Amino acid sequence: MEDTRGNYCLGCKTSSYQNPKLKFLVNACGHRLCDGCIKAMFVRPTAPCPQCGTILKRNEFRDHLFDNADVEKEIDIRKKILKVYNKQEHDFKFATDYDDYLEEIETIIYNLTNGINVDETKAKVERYKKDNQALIARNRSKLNVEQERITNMVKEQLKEIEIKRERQLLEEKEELRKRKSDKEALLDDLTYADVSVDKVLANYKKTQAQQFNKKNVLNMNTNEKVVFITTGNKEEIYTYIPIKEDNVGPKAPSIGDILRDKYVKNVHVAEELKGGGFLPTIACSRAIQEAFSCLLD
Amino acid sequence: LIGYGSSSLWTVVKSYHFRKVSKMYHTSTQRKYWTFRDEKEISQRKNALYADFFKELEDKNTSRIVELPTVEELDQLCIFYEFELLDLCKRFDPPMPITTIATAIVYMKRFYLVNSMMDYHPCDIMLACVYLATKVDEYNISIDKFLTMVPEKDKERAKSRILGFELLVMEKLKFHLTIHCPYRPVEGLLIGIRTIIPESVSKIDELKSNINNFLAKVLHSQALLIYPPSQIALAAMIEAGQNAGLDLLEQYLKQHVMRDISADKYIQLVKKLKDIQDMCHRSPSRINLNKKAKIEEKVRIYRNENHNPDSHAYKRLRDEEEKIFEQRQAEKRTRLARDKKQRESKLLR
Repeated sequence: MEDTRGNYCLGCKTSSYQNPKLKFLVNACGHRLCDGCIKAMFVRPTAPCPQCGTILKRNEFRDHLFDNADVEKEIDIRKKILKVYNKQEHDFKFATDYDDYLEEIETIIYNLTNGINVDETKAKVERYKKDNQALIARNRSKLNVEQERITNMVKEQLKEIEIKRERQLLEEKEELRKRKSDKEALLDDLTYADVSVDKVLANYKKTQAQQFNKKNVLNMNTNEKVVFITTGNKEEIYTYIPIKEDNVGPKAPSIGDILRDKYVKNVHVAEELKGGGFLPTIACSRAIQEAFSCLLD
Repeated sequence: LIGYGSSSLWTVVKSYHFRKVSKMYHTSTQRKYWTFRDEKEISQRKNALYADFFKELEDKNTSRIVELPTVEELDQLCIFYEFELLDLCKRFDPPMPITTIATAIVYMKRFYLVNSMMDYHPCDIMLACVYLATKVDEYNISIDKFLTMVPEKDKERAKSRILGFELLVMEKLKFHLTIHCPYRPVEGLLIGIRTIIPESVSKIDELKSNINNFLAKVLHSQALLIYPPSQIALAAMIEAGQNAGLDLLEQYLKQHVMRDISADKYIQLVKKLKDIQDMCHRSPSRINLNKKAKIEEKVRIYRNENHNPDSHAYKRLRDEEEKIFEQRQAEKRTRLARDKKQRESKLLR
């Protein structure tokens, strides 16, 4: 919820708003420190954190991912614990046992993050380590295998994309070259062949068209389907029906009549009203319409 | 000069729930609800309005010092106040447009077609009508500025009166607030005449002044409640033309406007125009102050005190109403409290 404007380094109190290039690093306690402060503070290999006083080691700094110090702290602790508590689901006979195991891990992490029974918990972890050394080592190697497999898959996918791209480039080059050679062939034909000029040109055009179609067919197969969107319900198209009113009087001249018969010459509209769009024809038309309304009532 | 800065252009008012109609006279509420067949119908309605009231008074006491006012006298009083309205509006600065004034007068006419003058006195209603008309016609003026133009000594009283009666007037007018006046049709006809009959261009000023006189006179008659504004405008035009020496009836109307219309419809229209002109000549004039005082005295004696905001009867009525209202509220409160107690006791049990 903090925005980056408020990201302060806890050593020198400069914010990333003031200096956008500021790089923060975090340590075991989760508190951010900027590059400069780290260099200044860690002349010796260890130094206390300016915020909470825990002893930090110089080579334990890493890039910060989250703004919240507690979260960073927890990430660190979690990584360490999971290196030790690394049993997998298939190591357990019953699902409930696996759940209990997971809950134990979470409790340990929570305790260590929030400083509850720290010594006890650390002792517990040590004991577990000693007891299950063999199991831990085996699982670790298994994890490594799993990770390797994933990284290999990712590498292969990247390779495939590369290959595709190169192929496309080659194709384009090939096409350009072909076109060039076709043109040259055409020129040669025009100069040396015994067939007439028109025939040569017609031939050329035909071959070009064929190639073009072939390319389009290929493209069409790879293109996505074009979807035509239609509205389900068939509504009636709106047709404009002009309003018919009976003014119970003789027919008033229309705007066209007014202009043609020069009624409008006898109308003067003030300059200010012209600005509002009140044309003389409108005023004229209105007055005459009112003069004829209900004349025969 | 035609300035159409005000209310919307001839636009089509389209709404998805109602028919599509335009804001013109042939689709207006004026045509639908407030146009009557002739003067006889109007006077019949007025008589019906006062019939019960006068009958009651007649039955009450046979001997009285002052006579009851007749319907004609009340009409004359109303017309007097219309003239007062005109004088009031002429005092406004910037000058109030004629459409606003006409709107106010039509409001008054309509109001006293559905309400008795014994219930609501014209001097209050007149102010409320003018204020309402300024709002409707977009001649916006604040109530305080409005009161500076009004010759009332007690401004506070006038203010409360106007604002109090404004809603009442709207309600009695059934909220039909758009009035179609003959002024724009007159403009239209003038444009037509100048285009079709070139000789009229030189006589335009004379025509205009005659038309204005005609319309000012016809405003006080019943014409705006009976005839469409286009016909009134045409009648004004034709008479003005006659006075200026142009036979507009023949040249413009018959040969140009009505050239595609059947002959009998033309004859009907000409007859109507004649009637309007006749009505204008008979248009009532302002009665003198003596007469007005007499009528007002009669009105003061016999008015329905329940509606007069100054009277004791009115105050008493309002107090009674409030008392009843308070009583009902108190009853409601006790009832609610009792119900609540019952519910709570049930829960506790």
